[in-house]
Amino acid sequence: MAEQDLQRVSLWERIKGILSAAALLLAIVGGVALLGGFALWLWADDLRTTGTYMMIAGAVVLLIAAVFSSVNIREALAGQRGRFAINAILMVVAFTGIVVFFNFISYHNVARADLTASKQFSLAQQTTQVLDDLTENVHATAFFIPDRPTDEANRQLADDLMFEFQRRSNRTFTYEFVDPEGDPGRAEVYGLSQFPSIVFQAQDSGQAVVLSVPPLSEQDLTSMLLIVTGEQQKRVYFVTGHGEKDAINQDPEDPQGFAFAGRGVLADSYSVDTLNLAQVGTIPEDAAVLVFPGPSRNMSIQEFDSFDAWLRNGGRAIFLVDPPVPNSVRTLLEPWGIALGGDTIVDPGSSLHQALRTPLLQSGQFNRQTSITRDLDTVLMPLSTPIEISVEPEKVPPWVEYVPLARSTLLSWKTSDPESEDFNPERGDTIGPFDVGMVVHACGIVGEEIDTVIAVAGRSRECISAEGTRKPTTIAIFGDSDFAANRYSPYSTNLDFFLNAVNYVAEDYNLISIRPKPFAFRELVVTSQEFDFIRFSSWFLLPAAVGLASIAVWWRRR
Amino acid sequence: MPNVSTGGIMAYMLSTWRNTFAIFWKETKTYFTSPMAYIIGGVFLAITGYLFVSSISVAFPEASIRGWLDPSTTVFVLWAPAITMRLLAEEQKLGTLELLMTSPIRDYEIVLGKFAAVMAILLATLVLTLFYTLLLVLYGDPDLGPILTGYLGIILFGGASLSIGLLASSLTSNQVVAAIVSFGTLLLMVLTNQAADITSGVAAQVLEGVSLSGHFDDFSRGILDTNNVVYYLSVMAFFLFLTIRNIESRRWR
Repeated sequence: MAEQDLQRVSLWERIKGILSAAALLLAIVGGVALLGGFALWLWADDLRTTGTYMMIAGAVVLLIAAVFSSVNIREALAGQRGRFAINAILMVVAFTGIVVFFNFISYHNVARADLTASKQFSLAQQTTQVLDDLTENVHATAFFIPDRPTDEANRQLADDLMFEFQRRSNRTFTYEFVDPEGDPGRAEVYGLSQFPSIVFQAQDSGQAVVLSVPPLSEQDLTSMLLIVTGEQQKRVYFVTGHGEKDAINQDPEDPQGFAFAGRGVLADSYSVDTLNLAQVGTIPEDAAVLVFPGPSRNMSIQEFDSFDAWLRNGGRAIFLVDPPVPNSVRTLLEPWGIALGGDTIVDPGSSLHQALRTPLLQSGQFNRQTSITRDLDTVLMPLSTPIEISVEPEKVPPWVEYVPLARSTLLSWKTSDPESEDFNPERGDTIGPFDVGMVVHACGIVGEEIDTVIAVAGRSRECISAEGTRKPTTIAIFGDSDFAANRYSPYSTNLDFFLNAVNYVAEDYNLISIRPKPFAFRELVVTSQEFDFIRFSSWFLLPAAVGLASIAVWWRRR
Repeated sequence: MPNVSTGGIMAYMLSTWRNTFAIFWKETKTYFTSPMAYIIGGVFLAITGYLFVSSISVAFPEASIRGWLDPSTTVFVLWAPAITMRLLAEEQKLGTLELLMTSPIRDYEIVLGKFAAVMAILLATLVLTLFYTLLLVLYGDPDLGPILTGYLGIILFGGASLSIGLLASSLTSNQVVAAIVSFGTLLLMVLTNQAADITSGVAAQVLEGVSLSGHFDDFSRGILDTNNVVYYLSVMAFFLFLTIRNIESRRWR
């Protein structure tokens, strides 16, 4: 018995001896296991369990190493050096804690100032309002394939915008970037096959919407937030059936298409649909705005009557007309005091190079009193027809208001000749300027006698009569439809001109404030001599000056 | 119990300032009376000059300093070790650090003085790069906001890099070893941003959070973000603190 005890003690002593001798090795193994496990836990989602086991194993091995070298540790810590070392370690740990704490606080309480001249990274008032009102958590998953040079700029833009959204919403909106090739399962969940794309998902309802990138703007993200959280969308109908331009055709290569305009309206949080009245018979009740994108054929009498009745009943419409304007459209607008014809504007004062029939509207030609045109830069309106008011100014009834949007220059004239670019009064050419865009607010048609006046109410208009108040009919008329078509809409603020009009007619004035900010590209334009000076002075002047100073110092010290 | 009266505090601060300035002045003089600072500064200017010209040698060049500012964070990975490697390593090799430590100068005064000296070199070099901005103003219409934040960012980034270099220099008496250690550390802290791109979730956030270059992007774009400023100041404070503790440890090691 005693011999057995002796043997057991001897075995234990032997194990103790081995473990004590191997304590350093055990400590290293334990440390590596601990760190490796932590790394797995942090980076490899699939191996998190393995990582946890590795960390536990590492901690156990470290503990064993500590127990079996406790004497050495005690000796090291008990000495003066040990005490200093512990003191130093504690100070470093405390200081690290303070640094981490400060960074944590600053990360969650960020103040950002956008010092770019055009406030490229500042959010519009409408966006901040939407984010402030966001009650449901929304998470955006941005699927971008890394290192694809074509996507780099959009990825940066998406990151910039979503970071600002996240910060402003106090993390009610959050986002992450996912590599769809590295993690294909995530993309499959949403059935995505085209990248980059951003999926917005409302956390409570589970509803998800997908935004294809590019293009990408603040406006797109705001719209997605509104859609995913179930905000009621107004519906804009593009009228078809009379040779109008196609807003549903999503081919941006079609120069006559309205793909960009259609997408722009969608991005402004509206739903978009087409309306062929001959097919459906009635104008849908949910129509917020009807858009007539360049009708070239007459409408039927039934259609005419429906549109006429709809407008007289407080309808809201946008007419983009090209000369010669179809008779039915002219007749439809006549009661509202608008006269359209077959003339074209020729404008030598401001037009596209070698194209006098393509007026180039510039800063001084816009009416800055209305939000539609307040922030526009330049707009091209090829082959536009003048929009004239058939009522003399002093005879405009109190229930009608005309808001001109933009004019041709004083040097312009209108002509019925489709080719000539020379002014010929004998032909009937008349000197301008002419309106090329106009908004009519009316409580009734011009000819009728009603006891109603139109008044400004905030940013909109109201019809005031003895019976009370109601909304007036609002019609925006443009003397051209091409400016909003695919061929010309990317030019400067062409598309904004159209979209602002949609927002204005639909009384969504705030949307106008989140048009993509004009990117002020500050190009460095230099002559070859100037470039040579910049090049050689940058290459040699500064290094040579510093080199000479170095030689001077060496010479003095020599 | 030290004298904690107002006069005592003032005297303490005055002596700290005097000692720190003495170290700063001695180091700055050493730098500017030897060719080393000029050579390192000249190389930095040659590289930034090349980068600047490359950035405007494209089809539609932008009047901006981002062309040299963004890549210069990588240049700092080499530049900062070169400028800091001798600061404390040489003192240790020559044995003059012991002299300093036995003089009535506190450890943090030594570290702060030396750090201020290399910051002065950095600022002097960056002042010369204003020449590029001058050229842009003369021949173009640059957006001055991003230029302003860009310079603030590069000063903070440079300061953080130099504090890492200073710690590396305090760890060894061999300048080459100091340079390699600080180069490796800087490279690691710059590359973590790339590592963040290939990960996701918490790991990506952590990697991005500790990355030296990840916090620089906002500055070069024209955004002043308090989080980035706090980060760089924290890095400087942290590595200077470690340097002070490391020097102090020589007293009991």
